Parts: sequence; structure tokens; C-alpha cells
Amino acid sequence: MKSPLMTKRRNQHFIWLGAVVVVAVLPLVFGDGYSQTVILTIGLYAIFGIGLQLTMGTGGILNMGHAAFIGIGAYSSAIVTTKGGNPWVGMLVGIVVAGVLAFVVGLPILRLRSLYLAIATLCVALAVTNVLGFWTALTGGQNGVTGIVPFSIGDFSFIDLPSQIYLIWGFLLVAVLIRINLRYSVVGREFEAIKDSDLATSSLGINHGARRLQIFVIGSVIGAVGGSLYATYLSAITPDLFGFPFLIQIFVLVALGGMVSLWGAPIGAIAVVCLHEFVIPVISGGNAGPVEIVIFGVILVIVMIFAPNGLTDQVVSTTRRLVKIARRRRNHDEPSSVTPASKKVAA
Amino acid sequence: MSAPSVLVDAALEVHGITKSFGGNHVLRNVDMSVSPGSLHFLIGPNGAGKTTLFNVISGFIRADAGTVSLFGSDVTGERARKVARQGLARTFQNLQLFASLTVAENVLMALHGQMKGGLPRAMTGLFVSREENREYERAYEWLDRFGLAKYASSMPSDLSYGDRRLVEIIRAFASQPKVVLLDEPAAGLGLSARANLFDVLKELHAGNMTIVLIEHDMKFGMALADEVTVLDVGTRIAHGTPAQVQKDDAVIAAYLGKRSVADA
Repeated sequence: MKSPLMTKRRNQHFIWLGAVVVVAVLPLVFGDGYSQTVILTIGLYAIFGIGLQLTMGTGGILNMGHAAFIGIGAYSSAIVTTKGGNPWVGMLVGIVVAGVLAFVVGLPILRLRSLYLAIATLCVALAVTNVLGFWTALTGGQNGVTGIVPFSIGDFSFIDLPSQIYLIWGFLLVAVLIRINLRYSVVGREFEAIKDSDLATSSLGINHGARRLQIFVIGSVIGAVGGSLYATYLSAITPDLFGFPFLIQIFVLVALGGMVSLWGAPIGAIAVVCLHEFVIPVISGGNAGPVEIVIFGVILVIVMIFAPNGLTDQVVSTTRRLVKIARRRRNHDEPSSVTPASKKVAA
Repeated sequence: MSAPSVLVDAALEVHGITKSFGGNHVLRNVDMSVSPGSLHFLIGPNGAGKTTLFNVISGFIRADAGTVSLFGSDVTGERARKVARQGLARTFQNLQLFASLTVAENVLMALHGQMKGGLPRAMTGLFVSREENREYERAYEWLDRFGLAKYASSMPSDLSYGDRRLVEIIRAFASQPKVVLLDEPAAGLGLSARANLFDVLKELHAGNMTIVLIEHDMKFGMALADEVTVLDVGTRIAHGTPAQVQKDDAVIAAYLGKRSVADA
């Protein structure tokens, strides 16, 4: 008996990964500076989205604090590099700080569910952005940090757009790979399962509290890595960058791309960046600033009402439902058709 | 009613279990002894405390008093996941399948205890491991055995209610537990699905698995059972073989004066 399903599904995702690499390379060959910036931003937002997707889609944790962990990654890189440290060390510091904070905060608050958990994570986000905004000696307060040093390997510095795209999309591919690996592993299945049923996971001997904490930490750390890349790309950051409007953008990204879809975050990132770059400027008549957050808010509300698991997942589940209906109709037309269960009884 | 037989080597031994929720005494000093390899039928009218007893045994609820032991090992007051690791599996009155996982993956979840599952391994493994493939094939074999292999890659929502019930039961047995608790597995099933479930349980029981069954369909349960325990309003009122219990006056009275429990 063969059971090639998992391998086949995973291979499909590796093929998809190859396609992403091609897409990432194309603008470098053909694109101008503007399209390269768009490609780079899509890569960054996709990393932010994967972190949130893991905590919300995979772990079932309504996480309103993701922007804070991105901010921690960004500020760690900013502070370390402006004090003469290596950017890679800055990223490592961001990973450790975000991971430890997620662990310490997650330990008590992940006992909460639904809206209570959302409020708790929102409080974490507010606390972090306040620290970033008012601990002037360390973070520069509302003025932020400037002169953030870009990443480098030996003498090669990731300072121009093409090399930064390679760097950011490289990290994105690693994040996607981790996401795919997690989905088709023992731990990953347990992450998915705890979201569906605490009772059943406990009855199978799974420590769902520990698994929820792990996924919260992993999602937060991926966010911090994205934040570190974001800071070194911008070379100057302020606390406002990681506030509520930014969080809404990441939520819209995940809502459009899908909560659980493996390719949801990059799709959502493309949608959000295209909205930001091409659609909203047209709608707002060039004055995007105040209108943008309203438009993103409206999109979020609409998607949450009509496709609470995200647009991609909605499309997939609707297609599956239609196929199911079509199959039922076909079976209805064929009176001799029987289910495996009834076959067994008949036998 | 005959006294319960004292079994030294009980697969599951429940002694003096008492549980109250506020002023509501749900279980009062309940004893139950399940012989290894037997199918033990736990019956009682609605509100008798059957599911609460399951919840206490499986660690989802802590008893106020009493002990629970599994093949001589005391699991009283242990959390559900620890009791599960000691070899107790169960199903639930309300279906508890994992909606995000395929049918095969639902069964595969039961095999996780036998797999290496570290987080670093999960994040860095580039390809599906041999172990993963092997266990997946085992899950597939379980489904194949009960005619559900066709649905291995389907989502649970694509299956009929009866087939979903079967998947949950298969998942409980796939971990090869020492004892399985089945809470109303035939509830809501049509006649053909019920007949299929009967065959499945008979086959699983023939494999010398220890099973405790709650079921309102008396004919269904009595035809499978080796031993029966009867609860009424949280108290054990009878224990014995199906034939003994069906003639017991207290049991007949509890079932509103029916002539025989099998007719209930």
C-alpha cells in the first residue's frame, strides 16, 4: 500500500517555492528602482504576515500584539548597530528579546481565550510601543533612531536595492520553509490540532498549553526578524511605524491572504502592497495618509464578516464545497452508488 | 444484585469516586472494575453520571474523593494528557475531530506518541522523514481496515456523520491504548452506520482490547458487553453480566418499570 499524499503535497510546495524565487529574480533583471522597492516591501510584509499567520492561523491565538514584536526586532537592530555593534548581532538580540518576552508574557496570557486574549495581547503591544516611545535614553523617544547600519557579510554590504531584495527574500524563503516544515511535522500537526480541539489533544496526551506557547514564541521571533530587516532597510525608525495602523495593515494582509494557507502571507503581502502603492493613491486623489487607514479598516471588516478565515482560504473552502455538492448530485443521480461504510455492512 | 467480582488484575479500577458540582451530587462513592480484554458496558438513565465518570477517569475532571488506577498504576488526579500517556484513550459525546487536518492526519495524531517530535526537527527537516511516511502508512492501514482509506486525504467535513464517528473511534484505537472509553459512539447514527459501527467494535474487541462503552442503545451495547455497570443518580445500582443486569429489579425500576433492560 502506498501513501504518497504527504510527500506529494510537500513537493507541490517546494515547486511553489521555486516559483517564488523566479518571481523574486525577475524584477532584478527587468525592473527599475521603483518596482524593486515594491518587490522588497512585498518580501518584508510577507515575513511580518507569516509570523502573524503562525500565531493566529496555526495556533488559533488572536494576537493583537504582533506589531510590538516586529518593533522589538527593529529597535534591537537599530540600537545595537548605532552603538557600533554588528547588524547580525542586532538581529540576534531582537530574536532573543522578542522570544523571551513572548515566552514570559505568553505563559500567563495564553490561558485566556478569544477576546480576552486579544485584549491582553493588545495591552502588550501598547506597553511595548510606550516603552519605545518614552525610554528616550535607549530608543531616542519619539524621534526614533537614525543611522542604522545595513547587514554585511565580510566586505559585502547589503546596501543597494537588489542585494537587499536578495537578503529579505532569502529570509522570506526560510520563513516559508519553516512554515511548510511545521505544517507537515509532528509538532506542526499538533499546532493545528490544538486550535481545533483542546479536549481531543489532551485525550491524545498532547500538552496544548506548551504547544500554544511555542507557536506564540515562533511567530513573535519571525516578526522580530522581519522587524530587524525592516529597520536596516529604512536606516531610520520611529515608534509610530509599529503602531496601530501598521498592525491593521498586517491584519489585512493575513485576512486577504488567508489564516492557514501556506502561500497566504506572500499573496496577502502582494495584495496589501498593491493596494498601498496603486489603488489607495487613486481613490484618495493623492492624499493617501488619512484615507489609507480607513480603507484598510473597511477591507478588514468586510473580509472578517464574509471570509473570517481569509480570502484565499475562503476561495479554497468554497471550491471544495462546490465540488462536494457536485459529487453529491452525481451520486444522487446514480442510485447504485454507496459509501464505503455501507459497502462494508453489505459485505 | 450480584456483588462485583473482585479482580486483582483489573485493567481499570475505580474506587469510591465522588463528585459534586456545587450542591449537585453527580457521583456518589462509585466503584467499577474492568477486566483486561473485556468490553464493559456502562449504562444508566440520563443524568446518571456516566459521562462525568468518564471525565474523572480520563483526567478531565478531578474527583472530590476516590481513586482511579490503570493496570495497577494510580492515575487519580492526574491531568488528562498524563492519563492518556499512561495508556487511556477516549472518544467524546460531541465529535472532537481536528477540522484543520485531513482524515489520515487525524488518525496519525494518535501515533504521535511513537514518533520523534522535537521542535528543531520540525522546523529544519527538509523532507518527509521515513518515520513520518511509515506512521502515515500505519494510519492509512487503520483507515483501510474499516473502509475509509478512500477518504484519507479528505477533510473531516467532507465525510458523513457516521464516517466521522468511525474516524474518531479509529483514532482512539490507533494509539494502541491499554483501555478505551467510548462515549455514546452510536448516537446520531443511522441504521446502516450503526450496524457498521457494531462490526467495527466487535472486531476491535476481538483484538483483546479493553473497552468501556457508554451507549443508550441497549441492544447494541448488551450484544457486545462482557460486563455491565449500572449507574442511577450518581450511584452504582448494579454490576454483573448482561444477563444478570437485565433481570435486576433495581435496574428495571431505574428504567421506569420496563420489563427488561434490553427492551428499553
